[in-house]
Amino acid sequence: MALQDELIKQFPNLFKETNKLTSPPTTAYNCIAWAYGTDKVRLWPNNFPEYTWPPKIPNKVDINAFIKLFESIGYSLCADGELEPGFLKVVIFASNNLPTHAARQLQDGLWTSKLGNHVDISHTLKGLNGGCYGDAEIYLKRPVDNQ
Amino acid sequence: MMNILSITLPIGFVLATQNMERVKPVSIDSTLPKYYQFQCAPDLIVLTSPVKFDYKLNNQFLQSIFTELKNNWLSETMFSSNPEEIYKNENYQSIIKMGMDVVPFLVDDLKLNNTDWLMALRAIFGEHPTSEGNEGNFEAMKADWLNWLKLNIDLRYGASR
Repeated sequence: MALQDELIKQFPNLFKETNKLTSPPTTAYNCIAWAYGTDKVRLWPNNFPEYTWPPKIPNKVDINAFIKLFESIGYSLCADGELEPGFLKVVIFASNNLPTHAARQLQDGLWTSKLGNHVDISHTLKGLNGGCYGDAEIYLKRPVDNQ
Repeated sequence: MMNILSITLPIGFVLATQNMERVKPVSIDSTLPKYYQFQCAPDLIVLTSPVKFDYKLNNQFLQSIFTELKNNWLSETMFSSNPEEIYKNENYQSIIKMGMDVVPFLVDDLKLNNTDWLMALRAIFGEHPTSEGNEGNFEAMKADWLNWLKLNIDLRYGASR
């Protein structure tokens, strides 16, 4: 099945909203790594050495562990995904209360996502909501110059 | 949902289940009149030799199963970042169960397409040849694996050469 057909199937709202393909497929990094700010590793709490996870963050697939991951690099919880000048935001998607995906906000208010071992896209939150990742649930922000 | 493989094999192959029941061909492929079309659950398949053994045909048989399982796996996990979902997918697990026979296909696909066969290789060989600090770094782990395979495994009779 062509990529666009798969995207429509997995994210029914994506093509009703602004979106753009921004990279070829790669296995070098995954969504959490991309939101975290690296394209060198694949991050996920797990027992698989093919992926990695910072040792000081709880090694559990739950929302709290993902929040702690982003707090460890200066993010703190915030109310929503509205664009705030001077702040960088990330969002955690969840389905059935389990984290499935994370995205990082761009300067124009759109979001950048790495889709698993596949492509990067820019998109709106509505575009991914209701798809295979569930919905955008947790927002965090940090000052732009806090690298 | 039961995963069903569709396999095209040259006439002369016998496909059997683990109970040694012969799987009857569904049809003769109209575009390839010397080939049969079989359908079977992947975990029930016993890999059989053709009636008259031919290395090239045997390789073709393995390749057709590998390709079908790989395509199913990619389709079912392409947007997931969760290794639990990716590696425990039934198609990926079926490929691991093919054992050493599938290694040449894994290595070729890893080299050419960067398909993530790192965990499958670890499961098949029971080895984890990753240098310290390379965990999670696909490119570095790939290089570690290719180096280990070069030193330890003879792939001359596989698909790689």
